[in-house]
Amino acid sequence: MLEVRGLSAGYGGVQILRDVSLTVRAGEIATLVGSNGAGKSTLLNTVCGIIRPLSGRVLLDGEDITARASEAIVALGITQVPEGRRLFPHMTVRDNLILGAYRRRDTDGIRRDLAWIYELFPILEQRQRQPAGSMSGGEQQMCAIGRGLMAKPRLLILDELSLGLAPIMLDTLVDALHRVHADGTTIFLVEQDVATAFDLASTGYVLENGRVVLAGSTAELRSDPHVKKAYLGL
Amino acid sequence: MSVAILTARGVTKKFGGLAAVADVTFDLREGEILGLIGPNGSGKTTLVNVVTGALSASAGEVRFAGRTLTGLPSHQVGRLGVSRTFQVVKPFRNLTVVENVMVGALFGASGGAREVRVARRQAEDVLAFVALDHRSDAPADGLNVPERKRMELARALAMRPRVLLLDEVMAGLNPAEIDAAVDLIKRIRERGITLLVIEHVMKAIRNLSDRILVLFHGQTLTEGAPADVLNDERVIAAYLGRRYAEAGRA
Amino acid sequence: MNVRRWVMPVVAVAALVVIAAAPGLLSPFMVQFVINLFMLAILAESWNIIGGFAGYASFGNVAFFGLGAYTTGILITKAGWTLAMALAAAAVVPMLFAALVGLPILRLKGHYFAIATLGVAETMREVVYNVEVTGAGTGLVMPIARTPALFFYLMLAILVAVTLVNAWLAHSRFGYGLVAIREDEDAAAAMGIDTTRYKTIAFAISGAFAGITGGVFAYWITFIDPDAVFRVIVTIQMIIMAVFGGAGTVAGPLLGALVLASVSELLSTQLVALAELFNGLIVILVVLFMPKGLLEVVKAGRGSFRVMARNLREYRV
Repeated sequence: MLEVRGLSAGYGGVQILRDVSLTVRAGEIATLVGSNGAGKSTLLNTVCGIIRPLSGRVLLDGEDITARASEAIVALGITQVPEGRRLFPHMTVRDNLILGAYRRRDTDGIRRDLAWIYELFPILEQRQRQPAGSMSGGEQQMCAIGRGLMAKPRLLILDELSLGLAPIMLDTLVDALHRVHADGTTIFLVEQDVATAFDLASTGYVLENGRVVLAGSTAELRSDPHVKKAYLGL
Repeated sequence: MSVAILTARGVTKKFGGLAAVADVTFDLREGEILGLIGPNGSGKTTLVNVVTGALSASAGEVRFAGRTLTGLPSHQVGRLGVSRTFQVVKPFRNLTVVENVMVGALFGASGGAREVRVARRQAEDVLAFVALDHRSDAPADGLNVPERKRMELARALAMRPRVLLLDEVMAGLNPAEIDAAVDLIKRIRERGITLLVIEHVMKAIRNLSDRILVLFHGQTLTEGAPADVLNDERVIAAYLGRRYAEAGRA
Repeated sequence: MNVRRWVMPVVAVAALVVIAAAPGLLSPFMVQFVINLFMLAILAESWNIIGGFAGYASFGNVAFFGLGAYTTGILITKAGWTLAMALAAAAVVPMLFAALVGLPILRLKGHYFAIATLGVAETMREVVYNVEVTGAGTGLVMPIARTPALFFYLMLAILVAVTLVNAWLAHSRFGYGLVAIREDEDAAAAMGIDTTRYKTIAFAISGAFAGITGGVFAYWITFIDPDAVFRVIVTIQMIIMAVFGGAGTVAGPLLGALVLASVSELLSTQLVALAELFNGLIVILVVLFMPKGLLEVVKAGRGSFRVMARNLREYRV
């Protein structure tokens, strides 16, 4: 579904990504792992049209979407849950969630999905009339993910899902994402918590210093000695 | 057994009708590292905010080194020797790294250094201690994630605190960086600073904490040695989840 | 390294000596222009203390200016004080007023603070308009002074003083405290800075300088009424000059005042229509290309175009 070919990109004269290629097949969960500064966010920003690449292409279902405007890319069915939440802090939790469904017209579907989000994250239902910015960090993370899910995207991109979440919350999220995936959503997970990422995804890519150094099924990657040492801390 | 340097008795914080922190009582013993864990929204940061005076307490009392802390404005708490880092780091963006840390040195415990020159030297020392001195003159908004966290820590350290409250400093760090951070925190303790560490990174909490305090819905769930707390069924059910239960690693 | 530290002060003293000789060398018109320029520069530099360093953009500093003008006016005409004493009072009275008004108002942030200070200035004008002792609507007539040189040197002296204060702020513990408040007030408080006290002191100093300038101004133009000394345009000018030059720097507001006052003077003689648009155009220019002020661009030397292009891109126009 999503294909990145030979992508090179950076910010203001500093090149971060070097010739990155990867594929996210329709209906699968894929993950890109790597440390801080490896270039994961840069890759996402390029894919979603926030920065222009220096070279290379981004294709969605074979269609070239390189350097299209972000709104156009969202309209094609890609939703990103950004790192650091980026909620609207003065709006209520409920409004933040409903805003996620901005592009949808099916009011019944929206209501059903909102109920489903509340089922996934009961604390959000409890706090639905509170300003989103008044919640704790982890609760805000849940709200950001919920907002992303409300868009009912074809491709859901999650940037640093696990940041600041209690371990038990990760269990809930992993379960939720499995359900979302079973419903037909393709998921692309960009993560630093390699253990969680490999739990969820079937295909993995390892990014180091702006290059893809390893690729394959997560089952294989899990037993790769370099991965074990550098990322799983084993 | 060492002496309690900071005590909290019945600390409560309500927002409207809702208690974010409810009747929390604990001791922070001199020289220890106390881990504070709990599900998201359990009141950990709110508790730190009340202790440091960023928020007023609805009820209860916090005492430090023989003085009552509750009711004091946050700048006075800082001057008395209690420092904290923020979960979402708050750098002074238009200043350089060393200038950021200098502010800590200029205004910290007992009012800090009076002279800018002295503060600069102190700041440089602290930056060397946290291994960020190679970025001294870099603009604060040009740092990457682990560097930003270290600067936040350096700023708090430059205040020469006796007690340091860390709020999720490990979030966003990879395994190697986490090890380095754990190491750094241990070295901070060796300097005689008492620490309270809020974290979700279990590896770090296990390695660091002398004791662990668990919050749940604003109340203390349990408190004790890591081995006991992390194996407690209630903690597993409320916080750790199955990955820790299954793996039996706790 | 040691030599560099002394270049700036030596140049400044030399410039000062040259400037001090000016009244004898320049035409009366030019002298008036320079006195006005000094006044604007002082106002910009004094605004810089609360607006640039502390980050609390006051839109009401003209209130202190006018208060200083009236304090001087009343003390000289109604109480027979000497100029020197009246000017001293023109510094002290607005300073105390600023501290008093600051208590409630400095609790507000950003836009709310701006509006509240604007309100204070407007209210003050109305109050003065309606009160007997200030001469109400008719205003006050001051004794005529002998030479413009007096005002030239008074304004110059105050300008030097306020610039030195700014220079001190840029390197002192107090200054770091103000900057920390500007950058992140919560973090500043957590680090031990008594933000209320610091903000109030900054506001008071800013008010004192604006006030004494108002006092000199009153004596200079020999007639004051509410509309002459409580003009909103004065506030706007001092802010634009400080921001255009570089808010939070020492030389920025001076540079801003020099450039903008000169250009404005030129324009008003050449292209009267453009002069009206001038302030607005400057604001747009600053917002687009140099939000940190002219000083940042000038310092980049060769790289100045790149700096401006980057600013344009960063702020996504």
